[in-house]
Amino acid sequence: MGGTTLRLAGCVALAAMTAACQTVREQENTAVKPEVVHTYLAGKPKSLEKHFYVSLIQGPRNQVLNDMRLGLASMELGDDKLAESLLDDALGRIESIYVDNPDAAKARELFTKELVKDFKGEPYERAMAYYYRGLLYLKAGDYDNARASFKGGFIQDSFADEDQNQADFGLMQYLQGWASRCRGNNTTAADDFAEFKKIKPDFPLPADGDNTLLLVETGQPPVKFSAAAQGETKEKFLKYRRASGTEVARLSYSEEKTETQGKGKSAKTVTTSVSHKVEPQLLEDVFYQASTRGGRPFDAVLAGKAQFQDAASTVGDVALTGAMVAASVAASNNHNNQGEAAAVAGALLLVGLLAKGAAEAAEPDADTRYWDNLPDRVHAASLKLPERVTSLSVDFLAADGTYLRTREAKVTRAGACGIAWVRGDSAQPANPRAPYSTSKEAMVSPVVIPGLPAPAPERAEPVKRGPEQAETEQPKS
Amino acid sequence: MRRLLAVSIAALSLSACQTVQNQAGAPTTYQDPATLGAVKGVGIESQDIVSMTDQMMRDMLTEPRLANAATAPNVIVDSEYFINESASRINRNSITDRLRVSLQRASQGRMNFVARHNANMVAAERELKRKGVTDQGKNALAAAQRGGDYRLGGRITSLDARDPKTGMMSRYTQIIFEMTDLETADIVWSGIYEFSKAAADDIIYR
Repeated sequence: MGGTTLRLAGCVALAAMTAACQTVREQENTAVKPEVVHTYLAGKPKSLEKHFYVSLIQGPRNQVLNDMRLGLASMELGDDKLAESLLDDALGRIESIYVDNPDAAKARELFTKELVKDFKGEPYERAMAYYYRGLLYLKAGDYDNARASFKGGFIQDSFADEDQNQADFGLMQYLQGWASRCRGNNTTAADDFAEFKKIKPDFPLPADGDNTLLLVETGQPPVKFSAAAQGETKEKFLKYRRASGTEVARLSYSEEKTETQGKGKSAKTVTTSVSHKVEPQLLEDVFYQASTRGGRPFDAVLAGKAQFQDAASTVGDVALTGAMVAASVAASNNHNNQGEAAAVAGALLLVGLLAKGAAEAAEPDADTRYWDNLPDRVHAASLKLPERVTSLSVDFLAADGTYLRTREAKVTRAGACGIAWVRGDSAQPANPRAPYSTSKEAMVSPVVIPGLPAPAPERAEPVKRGPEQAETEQPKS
Repeated sequence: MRRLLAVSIAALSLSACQTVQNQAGAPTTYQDPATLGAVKGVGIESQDIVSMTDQMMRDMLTEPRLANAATAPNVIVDSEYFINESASRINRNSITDRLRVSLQRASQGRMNFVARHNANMVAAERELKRKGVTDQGKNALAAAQRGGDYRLGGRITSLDARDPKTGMMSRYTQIIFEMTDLETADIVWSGIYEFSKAAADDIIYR
């Protein structure tokens, strides 16, 4: 067996192994019956039909991811009931404890990618799911469950490995205080705001009389990627990069104030317009929350996989080199050693291929699926708004003050407080598929919703004959 | 040797292909709400509500001012003053509704329950009767809706702890119930239910 054949065999083996690593769980199930698809899509927003179809065919592995991104998109479209059900589903799955779950166990295995696991998101993503569910509760005037949601989000942040960054999600703490305040539970609100001040001492607390909370979201979400440790080439750690620049917001609104001037008969009512300018302040940096949690415990598992990959690859290199040397001896003119050298070459080739194969099959890459319509930052301001103000115009500016755009924030009042929520960038995901939610090939394939099968043509009913007609058509004898 | 090589390559290729099958669904099954469910977390679950409301009901029926008064007192049991300050999102009605229904069935007339949660419904019907839109029905007309003598209040609180090293999360949940005299503000009965749960998620989610 010549060197060329050996190389060819090695290449074929490696190519086969690499290609073979497409897991069934990554694949989309396009075999769902069209009737099921259309029943599922009934009542969903038209603009998100492809997204919901993808959610259906991607199944439970990406259910939380799809629920979160579609819940947020539905919320922006004003379909709060749909958003509530999607986020409730996501949080139900996040809160269930995975014990002895076969897919979780698979993800820990040496030769399986982390991304085969059911997505539950990183702590910052889970916290933001609680945040949006809490906002929906605030909009509905259910302040108890709003506070419970924000508290649930805050608890997610306690996963951080770095002590100084544990439980520093100030957004959740502030909103807990706001929900308690709206509930009229002033003692709890004071406690919540006191805890918030420990995290963000400079952020102003709501003033007496403030009855509306404005939340302004800017920028694009943190992007996940798999990174190598310093001085290494194997990508095995989950890292983040910021995807957008700094934006700030400002709003101005005018308030009409009516007062009586003068006394007695000369008294008259005067209405004056008082203008207010407000610059919501940065309450939370989502990228900061994503990137400061420190290492994940699971990164140690991925590092172990990478270490195995390195060691197996080295063993494979040594064995394949030995096989090449032995093969060249076997091909030489020394007839005494040809037989033994060929056997050694074969054995070393086998060992080398096995080791290389094992190295190639090891999957140390981190799961880089991410919630792609989150914002980069959340700004907030509490306002004292009269009932007649039902929307606010919010200007978005670049960091240097350049005007970018204006958006309307609708003020929703269902209880003691109002809430206005607005985004600088749309929350409608451009791609129906979340990033890395399926194989590379499927990610770029078009999403085509199957049409309903054409109804079967109606069969002509046989003409019923009356007794008279039957009689008349009887053959005459 | 060639055969061996081919078999080895095929075996390697196959071993590299991880077949994690899509899971089949699970058929619907009825579960006893008083026992631990199939999906577990550290929050308030059905078995907690069943156990808690049963315990509170039994305890309340031992309070003479409520269950052994000369005249059956008017009692309001709803979630209006039942506050959730815990980290568990919950529909508070699921607790107070079960408590009211259980109490009403067990008290057998020793307490009179006022449906304050249906006050608007009653007011609308009273108005229709008095305007003559409907007849008066068979019951005698009342001067007004019945006022409450006692009303249920309460609070759900929780204390959460998490060990980032082990991923262990624990939640202590405390639920207190108080029946308050609506004239004097005396608390004529109170009960407490508490539990603590701990669990650790799989390492891939930490």
